Amino acid sequence: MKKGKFRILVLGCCTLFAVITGIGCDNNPGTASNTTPVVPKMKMTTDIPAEITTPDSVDTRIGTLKFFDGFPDDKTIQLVYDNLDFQRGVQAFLRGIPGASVQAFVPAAKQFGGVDGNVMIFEDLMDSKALWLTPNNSSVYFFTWIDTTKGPIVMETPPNVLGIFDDHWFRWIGDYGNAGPDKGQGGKFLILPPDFKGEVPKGYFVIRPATYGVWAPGRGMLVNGDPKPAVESIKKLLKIYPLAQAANPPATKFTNMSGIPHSTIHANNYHFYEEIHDVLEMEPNEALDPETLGLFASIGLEKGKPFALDDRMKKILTEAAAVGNATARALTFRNRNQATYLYPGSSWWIPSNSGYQFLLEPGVFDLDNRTAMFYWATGVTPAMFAKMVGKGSQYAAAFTDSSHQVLDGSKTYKVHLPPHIPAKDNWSFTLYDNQTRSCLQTDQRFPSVNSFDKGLVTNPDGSTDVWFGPKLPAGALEANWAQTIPGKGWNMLFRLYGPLDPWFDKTWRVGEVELVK
Amino acid sequence: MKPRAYLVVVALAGALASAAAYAQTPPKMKMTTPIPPSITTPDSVETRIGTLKFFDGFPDDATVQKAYDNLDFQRGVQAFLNGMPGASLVGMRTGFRKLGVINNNIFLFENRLDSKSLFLTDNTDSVYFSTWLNLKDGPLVRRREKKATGFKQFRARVGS
Repeated sequence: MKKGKFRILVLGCCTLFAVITGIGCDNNPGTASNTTPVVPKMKMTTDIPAEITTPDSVDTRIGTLKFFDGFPDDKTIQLVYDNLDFQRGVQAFLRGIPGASVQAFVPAAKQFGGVDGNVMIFEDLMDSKALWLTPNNSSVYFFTWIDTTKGPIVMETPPNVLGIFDDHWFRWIGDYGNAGPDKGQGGKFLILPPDFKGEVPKGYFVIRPATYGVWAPGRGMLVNGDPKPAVESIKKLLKIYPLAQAANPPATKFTNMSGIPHSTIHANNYHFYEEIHDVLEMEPNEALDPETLGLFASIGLEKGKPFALDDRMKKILTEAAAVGNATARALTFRNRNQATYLYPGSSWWIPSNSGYQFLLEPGVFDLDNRTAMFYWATGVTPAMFAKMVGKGSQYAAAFTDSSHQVLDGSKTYKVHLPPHIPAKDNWSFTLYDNQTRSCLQTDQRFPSVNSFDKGLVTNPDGSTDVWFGPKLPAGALEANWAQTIPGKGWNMLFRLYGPLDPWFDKTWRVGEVELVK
Repeated sequence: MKPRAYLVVVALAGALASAAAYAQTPPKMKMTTPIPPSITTPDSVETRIGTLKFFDGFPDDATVQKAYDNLDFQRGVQAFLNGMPGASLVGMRTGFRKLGVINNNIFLFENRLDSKSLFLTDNTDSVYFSTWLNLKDGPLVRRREKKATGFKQFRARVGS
């Protein structure tokens, strides 16, 4: 029995070695030089299938890999390990964006009173001083960070809001409000810690996340363009407190965040990995899959252990973050999957084709959509992806013009909206900064054109033209124009609130972004 | 006075150097706020996959190509490393099928396994036997006599 175990160990070691050297197994005869000295034919010699051998030398993008009869030389070992660590750094960046993005809210929430049952609210809407990924300027956002480390938390929600519970790795747990079990009436939600074993009290909508940290933003609706009714309702009725204090709950404090500069955006440099480490430290390993935890662990990111790397690994991960960032930007700004574009050849883009769970088919992740979506946006709920005629909202983004050139803030563009825009409630364009993916910081407080803006002009045939440029273009009206900034790029989101059938069946089509010469 | 003047020059040079990293400094607008440096993307960054270039965060065509080439290459390498257990069994299955070793046809090294067999890290001092079980057509029954030799080792190998 002992011997049997020993054999297994040996097999394991050999397999590990094979894994480490696996990269060299390139059997392309064009790149492999044939310098193997002729080995004498022995009594037991047989033919060896070519595809299982390792050439003595193979040229690759990581350098020339050299082997003595399959055994890598010291330089090859170093090249292979440097490459392995670099690749894992890049993959951890792409895979970790959702978690880092949630984590990036935590410092802002702590600084501005969005923790411990308190709420950050945008009483006069969210303007471009708030660095949030692709928000809108036409609803009353509020945000609270729920932490169930010390026990279950109760959240009493107001009516007529759109609210989400996402976990610390940015996976959907549940909705509250109009798409939630309270059906927009408001209700009492109980958010349980992942290790909760007690009896669940009655009278609550129960939320069972895999993580202690829960991202729980909401949006209140404008009434005839006025945020006040929603603000009053939210401040009166939204309450968050520990279940243990349900008999005598402490008051929920609100901080008005409108106009206050703050950032909720994850890092694009080495600090990114520290954000991932913060998530791992707070959350149980069971919240994530072994493959991803193993990927993180392989670059020094482990729960319960300090993230302290040597200079070599710091250098490698600094470079990996830069390449991961470039890759996320390619996937977002220049996505190569045609299925993510709204129409053939169009610039209008929405990575919703694999749903809110980002599945190509059951059990198979759409890695690119998951990365692109979370690099560009926050908040995942089935309500964002479902076809709900006349309800909720639909989105399309544009990063390039009709010639697929980057949108340049020194140039002027126009989008034509044909008559009968299929929005029951309203539609809008909102401009974003390519650096921060947050609202573009121009001279206009809201970088947007909204159908309910005063003075918006419709053409005699019922169509609408919307203009984008550094200065008000000749012949355009101010309400139909959003300002851009010379020397800066930009991108935008077109939103339909209460989208109607012609949007879903594509009989109505939003115009491409045309450069005005 | 002199040292102070020198300091000013150094500070100016530093400011110019950091400004030069951006192709064009955009004008300050009414809504402009400070942006944390950790969330921005420089106009140019040297990496092992080449120099990556951006216009205000938007990658140029060559950078997009490099990013995708690297992404596909990395996924190829990671799939190789992660796929090895499965590929190893496919290799074994192919060999077994060629020899007709499937379900109730068992191969047995009656005179020990020698180096003409290409097996990962086998030993030469036990009586190996194996078969490839295909359960697509339904459950299979396996029985053994009580004192079959090597059974524990066989179990251990399957378990590894």
